[in-house]
Amino acid sequence: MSRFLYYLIFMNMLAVIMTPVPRLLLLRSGDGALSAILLSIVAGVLFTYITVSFFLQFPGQDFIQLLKKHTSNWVRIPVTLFFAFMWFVAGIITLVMTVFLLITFLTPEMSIYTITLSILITVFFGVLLKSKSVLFTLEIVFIIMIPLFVLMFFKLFTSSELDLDQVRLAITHINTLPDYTSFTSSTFMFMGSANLIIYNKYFKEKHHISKGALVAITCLGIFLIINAYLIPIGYSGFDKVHQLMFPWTSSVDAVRMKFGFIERVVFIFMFLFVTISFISMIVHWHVAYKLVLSVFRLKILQVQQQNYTPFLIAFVFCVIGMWITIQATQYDLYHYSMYYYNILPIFVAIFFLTMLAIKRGASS
Amino acid sequence: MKKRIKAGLLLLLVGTFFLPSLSGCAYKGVDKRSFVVGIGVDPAEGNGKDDKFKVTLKIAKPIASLKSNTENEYAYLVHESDSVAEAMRYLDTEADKVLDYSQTKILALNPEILSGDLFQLMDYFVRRGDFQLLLYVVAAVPSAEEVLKVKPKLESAGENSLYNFFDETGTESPFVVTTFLFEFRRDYDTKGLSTVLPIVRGEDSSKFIVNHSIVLKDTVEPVELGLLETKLYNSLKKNSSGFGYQIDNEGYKFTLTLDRINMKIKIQTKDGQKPRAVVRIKAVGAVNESNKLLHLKELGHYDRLSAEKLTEEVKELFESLQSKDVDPFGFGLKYRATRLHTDSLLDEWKAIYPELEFDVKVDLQLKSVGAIQ
Repeated sequence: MSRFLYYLIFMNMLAVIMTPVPRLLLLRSGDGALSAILLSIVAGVLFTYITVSFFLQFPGQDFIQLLKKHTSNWVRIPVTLFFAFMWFVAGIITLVMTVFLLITFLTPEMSIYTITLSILITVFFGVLLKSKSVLFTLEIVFIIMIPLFVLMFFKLFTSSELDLDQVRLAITHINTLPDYTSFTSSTFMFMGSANLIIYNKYFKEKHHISKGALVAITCLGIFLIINAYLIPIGYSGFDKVHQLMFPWTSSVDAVRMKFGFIERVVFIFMFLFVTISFISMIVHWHVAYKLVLSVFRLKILQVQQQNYTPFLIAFVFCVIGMWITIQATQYDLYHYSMYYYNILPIFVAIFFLTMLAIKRGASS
Repeated sequence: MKKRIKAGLLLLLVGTFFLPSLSGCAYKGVDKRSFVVGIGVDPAEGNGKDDKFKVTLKIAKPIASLKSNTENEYAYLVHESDSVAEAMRYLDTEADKVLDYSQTKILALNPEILSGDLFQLMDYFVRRGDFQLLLYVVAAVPSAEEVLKVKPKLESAGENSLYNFFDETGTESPFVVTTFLFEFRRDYDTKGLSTVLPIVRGEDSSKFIVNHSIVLKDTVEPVELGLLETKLYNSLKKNSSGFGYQIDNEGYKFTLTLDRINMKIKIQTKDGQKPRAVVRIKAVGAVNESNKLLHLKELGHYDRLSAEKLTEEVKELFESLQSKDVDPFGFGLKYRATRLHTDSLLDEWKAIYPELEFDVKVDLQLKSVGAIQ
């Protein structure tokens, strides 16, 4: 497996902190979150295995090419648009969450337009990069951020303010029946490999999915999802943790470095969160943009050799993103993202069915 | 080459298009901000209105340089209102600069407002995201306003002596309980755990004394902990250590320093027996002062003497807290955390706690008798 594939998978796992997933889990901490998380680990690893081994059979081809080659238009266009919608919404959720986080904790006096715009300008150009460049960006962000992540987890786990009894209390609730939304939202974390539908174009060599890779993905996934759920409980208490709107930020605010340059570690972490959400948005929207582009390519926008449709698509993405961010309330964010996670199984079903169709088309 | 120029022009165009939106940014320079370093909340004195709280803000005045100033100067704003938020909003109108709460580190509360449910009082500080959750919550005697107005003699320019008590970079004493805002909220809201705040006593408006503490729970009246109790709570629950454990047993009078203390609690409920809390305490320390010559080979004997005394004190503390129905050590949380969840677990605990028996065992190890025998 190429190292970029690991980046894609791990990015989705890390970026989960910047999505509504932790809060959706904590809302159900009393009834069924933990058992749902355990189920989702199994489902997520299975999903990763199936997706990766499917794409490994078609090195250097993305999903769009495969659909074009092996299926008819009436399958291709709706599926492509539906997938584009799913990836676009994934980006939107991260965008809205990031803006809300910044406006609550970092710059309460700044206008929401300025914050959103400053994010969207960067993302606009990020989306228009070549797929390969997006992967390189991802790699650079990863290499720069990993030391910070290690520092963060080290501080979070060793701080004396972490109340282990609260964590234990959360674990005793394992005997409840798994909850559907908790299951789907925590499975989302393991869906990074689905990004292959575009980026597989650059994985040209024939690889095998090794046992070691699968074990590494599973272990890190378990660590990060358990962590995303239990760390806020350890710092903010089991009984009232669902009252927190941004459980991760509020919990990280409880960590301090006595002799660091700044006492409140939360600002370092905020930097980390925002960077990760930037790159996650770029990766997701890039997929959505490529999918849309495979369906629409306007001839009017052809100026000499350059077609400006990509700019139009990215611009429309940004405008919709801006509009939704300004319209959305906290309730909308958590309520609609819950619907989004709840329809993920439908996405998986369609994804697997089209995979089957492609495989049949390819073998006949 | 032509393509590059085109791309550059496009970028410039986009840039200028977005430029006006940036000027509308609401960022204010540091000279237009007043930094609030402490907030005090007292019960309102009334004056005929039905206000609830009196809010005091302690605002740091900027100093030109550390050399030219010998002491700090603060400005105080006071207002009475029905809610904390309303009072602070009103105080905005008394200051010409933006009141900036991001540096606030002290939240002083008058013990009189600490009885009953603290939900309304604490709500504002957590709901507003710009307060840090790392601020120190203290109970202030005689009143929050007076404590904030204390000017300690040892305080030099550019420092805040009240911070030094709590942030563990200055004085480190087992008498000083440090409670952060997030911790206060967490422990107060958890069923089976009570929160503990340090009591800061302002004396002669030139001195702080921090060695008592107060236990809070929404269902019962606050319980004040004395000197010894505060020290025991701090050592056992927060693992703070240091000078000052008096042992008086069989004619020996020691003062011990304990370097490490570790407490483990197990709740045993067997059928037909009274529920028991088995508490194991491990401590390592040294003798600092003694009324007799000490012999190295008898260290084991001194261990036993000290452990006996400590056991007695700890058990007494547990029982007195139990009789007042508060639980700062978290026996209830321990009970809930070590059993698989059922809906009746909490009610069971409420029945168990008044009858709980404490089985305390102290394993104390003295490493040395100091520099002389």
